[in-house]
Amino acid sequence: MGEWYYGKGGQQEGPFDEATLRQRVASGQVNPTDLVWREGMAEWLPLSQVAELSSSSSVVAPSSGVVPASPYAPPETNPAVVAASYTGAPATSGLAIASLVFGILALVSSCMYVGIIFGIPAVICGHMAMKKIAGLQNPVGGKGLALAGLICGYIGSLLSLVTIGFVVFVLNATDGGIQKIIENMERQQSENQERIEESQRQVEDAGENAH
Amino acid sequence: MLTEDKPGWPRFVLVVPLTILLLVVFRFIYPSLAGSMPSCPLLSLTGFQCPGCGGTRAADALVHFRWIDALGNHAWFVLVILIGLPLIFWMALKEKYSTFPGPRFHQNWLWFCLVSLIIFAVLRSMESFQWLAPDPIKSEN
Repeated sequence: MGEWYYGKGGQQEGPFDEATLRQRVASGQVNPTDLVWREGMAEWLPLSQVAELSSSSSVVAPSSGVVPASPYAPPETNPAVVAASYTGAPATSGLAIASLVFGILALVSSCMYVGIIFGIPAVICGHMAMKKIAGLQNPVGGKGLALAGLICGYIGSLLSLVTIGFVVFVLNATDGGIQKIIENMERQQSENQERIEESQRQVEDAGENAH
Repeated sequence: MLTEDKPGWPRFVLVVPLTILLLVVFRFIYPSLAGSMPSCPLLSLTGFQCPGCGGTRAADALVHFRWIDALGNHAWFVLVILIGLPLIFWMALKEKYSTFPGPRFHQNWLWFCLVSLIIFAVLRSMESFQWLAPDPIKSEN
């Protein structure tokens, strides 16, 4: 159990066994900010930072390189690593998943003005995820997802911007006649469609004649 | 994708009710919007079908339960909604009740969505697969 010392009012108190120290903590004689020490610790630490004296299990991770000689490691709080320990494979960063989901949405809405509304979060999440994954020490999957989400976000936004730019340009150029222009285009488009169907029919006829 | 120590509903389950809500809202809003929205300039000008082409028409057919029309306009979108939403809900159930059978969420599901979308979009622009393409826009809705 070891013998504990604490500092109060410039005075060193102790040694106490752990039970006594806990009593004093509970009664308020020792505050979380008071420094405590026992043999095995590299230096005096505030009570709140000593893992084995903390009464709750949500322990603060050891600060700045000082490793308390404590039998209790702080519970892993990174959710990605928690999931990994369940499945045995590196879990995936949520940001990366979000990035690809937004990216797919951006692609699907890319000709409409909505494309950039999804594209921007796709790009943002993608970059954030890439940075985060590169910075984490524990292996976390999702780099490919984030990259794909990035790319889709850029493509979707680009297409969307082209569309917006075109509409704005045409609006400016024709000064309100845009509806007519669009109607013309729709007519051309259905003519194209008919031409395609016509050539398809011709292909089918040729196929039948060949038999 | 557990976000807490004890299993509960994972947050991604929210996608399901949110999407359904969006579809319901779309059903009521779209008829009034349809007349005033300009049609796709990209398509009309270049004939180029973006991956989402026909999505709005498909969604309109979908919320009115015209399944064939919906599939004919944007099969990928319709299938993702019809198959994906229950699948997501199932995976969420599995996260909460770990004895549930069936697939876990895995990033390969997302890859599959992306790749199938790209293949779908490319196929659609080829003449032999025109049945995948959206129906032409009529000038009166």
